[in-house]
Amino acid sequence: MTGGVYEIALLFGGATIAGFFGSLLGIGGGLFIVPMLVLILHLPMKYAVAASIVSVIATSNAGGSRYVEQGITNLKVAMFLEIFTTVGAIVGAILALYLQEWIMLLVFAALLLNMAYGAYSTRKLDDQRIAAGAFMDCEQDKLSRRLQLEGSYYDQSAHRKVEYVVTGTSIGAGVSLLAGIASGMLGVGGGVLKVSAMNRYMNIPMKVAVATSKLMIGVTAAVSAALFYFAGTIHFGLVGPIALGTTCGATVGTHVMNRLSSVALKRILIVLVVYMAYAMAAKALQMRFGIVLPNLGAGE
Amino acid sequence: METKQNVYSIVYRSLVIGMVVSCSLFAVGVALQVAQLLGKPLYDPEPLMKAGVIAMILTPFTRVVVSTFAFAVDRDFAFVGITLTVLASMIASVLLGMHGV
Repeated sequence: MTGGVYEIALLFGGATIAGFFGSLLGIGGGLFIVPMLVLILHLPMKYAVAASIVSVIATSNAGGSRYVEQGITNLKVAMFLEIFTTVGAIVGAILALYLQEWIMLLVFAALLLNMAYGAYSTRKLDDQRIAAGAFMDCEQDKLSRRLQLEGSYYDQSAHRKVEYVVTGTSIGAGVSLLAGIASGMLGVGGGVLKVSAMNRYMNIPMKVAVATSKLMIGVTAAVSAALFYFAGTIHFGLVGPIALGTTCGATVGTHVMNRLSSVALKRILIVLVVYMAYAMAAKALQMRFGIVLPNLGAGE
Repeated sequence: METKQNVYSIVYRSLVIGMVVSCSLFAVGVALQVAQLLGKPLYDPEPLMKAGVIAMILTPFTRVVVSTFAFAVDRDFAFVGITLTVLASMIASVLLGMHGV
């Protein structure tokens, strides 16, 4: 074995793990892939981010299609919220020209901690409400009734069909806009905000939020990837193994997600969100004040 | 689901086609990369990788376009408008980005 072949195997393996967790949580997994490329393979940041974005599309295609096939995704919610994530991505790219990155990192770290708290305080609620059929007991707002955003899916862990109505379209739209800004400015964090917003404010069951976010992230990632392609920062020697790895991992993840309880999914999400908030805050402190906090091993 | 089944099936098909095309290109590309690294170069893998990346980038765009048509067939014009808005802002961000925003 030469070093190069070993490197390809490493990229594939790491990307498979990222794809797996990305599918469970409805996120892109750039949070795992970028550090792997920077810390282990010593790639410059801009090539790492570009390669990671291509793999986010791969995981969204693979995971998103499986969840659509399984009937978990709510397509109408996805398309409605995509208006705000795509506009948010434009706003984020413009804001990046005027606002200092460390301020945005701190703002999003605070926002993520708030979402983690929300997920923690409601961690058992999904399973209880599924058992009680309570996702139908909610006042739809005008827009969600007009657009017929309600839906249903079969929950393989609760062994029942879960029907739900949707509410809170305006706050969901607002958080999606922020999610788009996060993707446009920082390249990470969009998926977590979307999943949390749908589940916390829009009366959307956790698994539907995961599946719907998984589909949505492909859209913002495709726009970013197109820009990286034209900017020439996509490293064509790297993308193959990473995209194949995330595709495999995402496909396996979609077979596992619906079998887990919603509380288990939320626990994994909380750990990840706290880690993400820590990483953003640490980066902000380093950029602004030169304080270096440990980079890895900040699981919780 | 209230949404008609044809939107779901066309979205599913567009994603799967994009995934199969791009991953096949990447798979052959990686095989060529490995052959190159083992000192038995066959062909240059880069054009295949490039084509794979392009196929990958085009998939979400295609998904939005085909769902616009599917909603139009269902005569769900609110969602035709929504998907067209999404498509317009996707194209706008690529164009803005190319001009340095």
